[in-house]
Amino acid sequence: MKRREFVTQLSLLGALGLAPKMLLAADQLVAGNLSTLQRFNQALPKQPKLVGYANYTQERVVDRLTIEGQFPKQLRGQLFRNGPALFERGGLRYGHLFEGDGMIHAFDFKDGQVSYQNKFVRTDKFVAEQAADRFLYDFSGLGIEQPSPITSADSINPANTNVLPIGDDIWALWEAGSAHKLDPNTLQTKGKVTLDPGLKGMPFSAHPKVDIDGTIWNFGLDYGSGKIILYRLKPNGQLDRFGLIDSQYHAMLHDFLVTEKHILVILPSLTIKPDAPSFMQRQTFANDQPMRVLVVDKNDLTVRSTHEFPPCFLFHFGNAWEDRDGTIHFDGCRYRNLDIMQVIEQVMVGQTVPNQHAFSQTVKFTIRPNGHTDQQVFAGISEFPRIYPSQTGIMNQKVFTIGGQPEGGWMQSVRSLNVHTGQEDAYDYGDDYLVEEHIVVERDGQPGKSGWLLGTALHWPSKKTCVNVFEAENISAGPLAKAWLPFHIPLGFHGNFRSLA
Amino acid sequence: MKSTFNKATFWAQAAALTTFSLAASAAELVVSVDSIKNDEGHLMAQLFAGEENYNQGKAHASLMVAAKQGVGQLTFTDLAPGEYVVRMFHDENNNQQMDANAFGMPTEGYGFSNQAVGNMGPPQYRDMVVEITTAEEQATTVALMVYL
Repeated sequence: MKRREFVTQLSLLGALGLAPKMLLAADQLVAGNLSTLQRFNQALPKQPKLVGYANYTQERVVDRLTIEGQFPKQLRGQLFRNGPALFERGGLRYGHLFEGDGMIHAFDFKDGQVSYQNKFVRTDKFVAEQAADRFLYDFSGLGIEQPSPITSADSINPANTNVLPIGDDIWALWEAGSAHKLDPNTLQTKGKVTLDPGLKGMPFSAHPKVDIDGTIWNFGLDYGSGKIILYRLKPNGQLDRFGLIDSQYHAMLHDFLVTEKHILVILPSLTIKPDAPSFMQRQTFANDQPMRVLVVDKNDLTVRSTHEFPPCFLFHFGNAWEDRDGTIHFDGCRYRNLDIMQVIEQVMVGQTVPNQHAFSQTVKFTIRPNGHTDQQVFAGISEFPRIYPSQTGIMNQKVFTIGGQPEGGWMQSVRSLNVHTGQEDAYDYGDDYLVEEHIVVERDGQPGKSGWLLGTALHWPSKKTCVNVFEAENISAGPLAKAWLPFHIPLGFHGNFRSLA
Repeated sequence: MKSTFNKATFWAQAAALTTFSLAASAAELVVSVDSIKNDEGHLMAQLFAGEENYNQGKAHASLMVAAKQGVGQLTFTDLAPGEYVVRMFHDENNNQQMDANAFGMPTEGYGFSNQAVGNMGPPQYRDMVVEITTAEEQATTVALMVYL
């Protein structure tokens, strides 16, 4: 038995926050979590916007959504979205939004009509907890009785972050464990994805990048060792190659980028506070720690150069490309610190915090061939950046984000931003909506030039969710059409479109 | 004939007594193994005598048995009184080592005495230890196989 490795690696689970006994006394934990649920339930009637973060368990099918306007006939396919939905069992409510079990939503567009279905991803965790009718794993100090041991990250994998069509399947993604394969038509879970026996249980991030030729790139971070695995997959999802790099980074890492020649591993200014009770609470902003960019050669998966930018935090990046002279440009939604994590936690107890305390803005970062770096900040709030898919890794003009104003409420607008000129094209849904990620679907034959912007929004006064389509090059004209569900769905994270001929 | 029979019986009984007395003078530890995933390969088990040997990876005895899906059993014999720890893994592909993924996480099942399962690392020694107090003791323990 290779005990040394075994012991070392098991101990790494600690870095993932997989400690059963937290620092607080059990009675404090129980009181804390009862109050999480109670506080949320007390806040909900006063702040109906919070319905988007309420516990959600229904799996449903809607054959035909109510349509306003006209959906383009050429728009054929399925919009898949993923996000945490189940937050409560047995009177306990999770303390962090990121813990909820992942639910896949599928909107099917055909002949100008829209249908819908949703299902939970049948992770090992979901199946076991569903059967037990209680939470089994105490990831963050919930204080549950007789918790089951967390033996690997997949013990607590909620598969709740993104969903991407790969081959004939869709993959539900999380960032610290295995991807899950689902049937795109039935949304039934087929099982965990094991790319190779030697890669079983390895982290596979929620933000793979798909090159123009269909090659899929992704990464996974081992928090304990700071090693990062880089994956290259064939378009059908089979493993082509993998490599390991040593990042010396041990905190949350959500997204990355590719150019034509390179992978950009971008390490925000986070460090780990080792004695904090949960993984999320261990994340600490280090205002003296530069953001580091590791430039990795796509051919041999080795780090070619490292660059630094002023300290900041980002969840998400838009795109990256290289000029002929080797200058690298990339953009992301930059936060000045990590206060956004507190905002995300606060919604779980029913508190909403105005944007001005924690918002992100699109920043264009540049790395010159001589190693000099600079950055350009664009006004306004932006999050959930997307691009025309065919421009992944090559120069794009626009990044599509949701947004708002610092003095305003939550995300309520959608916009495109030209990262060369700063020109904006935006639409404001208004105060009654909470806007989710909008993605770009390209028109056939016009890659990178023309398409639709497609995304969901929660109309909280009526507690109904609509899916909206815009002309991607004329967002300010407002949605071409909206399709209404007769109910709301929980506010989610990311999704992708699967085109059908 | 009768005498011969008696003699044979005597020796048989004597042999039985010897076996009995040997068993009685050295304890054994019966390990029940729970949750074996499939019939492939073998279970490789190691017995450690005391914490120091465990920490140093010096096994007192090793056993290998064919894997059978579900539950299994193996027995360590001739044990003097003392503290023991069993650890094992399911060598599904018969390569005689516990396979790990590229980050070193075990990809074959593993288990420890007392069903000890580590939560933020390997189980604690005190959670795995089985104490044999007398030379006649027949101790039992259960190892729960855990698969990634």
